[in-house]
Amino acid sequence: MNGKYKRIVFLALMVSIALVLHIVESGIPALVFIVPGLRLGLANIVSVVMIYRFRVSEALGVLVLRILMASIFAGGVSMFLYSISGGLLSFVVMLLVKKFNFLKLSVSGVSMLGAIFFNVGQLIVAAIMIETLSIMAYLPVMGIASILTGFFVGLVSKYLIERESLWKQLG
Amino acid sequence: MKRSFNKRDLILGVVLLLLFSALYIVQSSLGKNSENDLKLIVVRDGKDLATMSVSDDGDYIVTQEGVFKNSEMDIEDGEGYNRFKIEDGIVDVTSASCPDGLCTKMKKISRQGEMIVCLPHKLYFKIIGKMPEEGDGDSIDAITD
Repeated sequence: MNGKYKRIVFLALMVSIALVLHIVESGIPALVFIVPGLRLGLANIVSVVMIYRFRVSEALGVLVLRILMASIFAGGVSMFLYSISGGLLSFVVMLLVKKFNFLKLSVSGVSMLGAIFFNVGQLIVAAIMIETLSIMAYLPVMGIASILTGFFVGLVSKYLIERESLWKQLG
Repeated sequence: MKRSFNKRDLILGVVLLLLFSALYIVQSSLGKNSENDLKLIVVRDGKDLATMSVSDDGDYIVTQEGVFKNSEMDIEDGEGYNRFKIEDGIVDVTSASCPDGLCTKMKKISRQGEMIVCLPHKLYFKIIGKMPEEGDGDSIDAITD
């Protein structure tokens, strides 16, 4: 198959995998009892893998498409705002940490910081929308949860990133 | 590669974990002051809709017009509302018209500083001490006004 089309198919697959993970995890209500908007970050596996294995523009495109489609299928306008701000902030942070080799972190460290900043982004938008900074009171609990979920997301991502046979097909 | 993560990942994780835990401990110890005479505030779009004592048991409803107690009023189609009840000093949002309904799933609040948020309605319920000005982050609200 032509390399260009192969790449497009790969990207489409990444979007659909991320979308399914995003929608599945929003159906897991357990974490909501602790803090609203707290999620496992399963869809972040795709973002982390893409930061390591794809071009920046491709990773960004898949992220935005995933959040847009997830909001259409399962969320709403407010969910879109929270997810997109958290998603973009987390993406930028992970990209910078990886690019500048900050603290020489590996995938798990990068994904941990990504998870924390995803929640920071969400909280900032929430604080603006309901016009109170006191929502930042959720930050400690969200931070603790993100460190744990981010770490495991990193482990899963690492396995995927190191599947050389998979990425060889990308060309 | 042998390991799935390196030492620096772990150190960063532990340091951040300690930092957030410390923040959490500070936060929850602050919340224990003035257990008596707590008040519930209902705020929408940054404006106080109502303030009531948490010993004021009953069913309440928040609509576009404001907060009403023991109200059996009918809700017009398309009008946003959140129903909540106060019982033995515990506040719980029982039903709401918002699309995600997260506010009804959030845990009940009874201690100072705890809050329930309804993001689609830009609404939140928060328990405050006797004097909200003291040690309450709300004074910073002016920024977004």
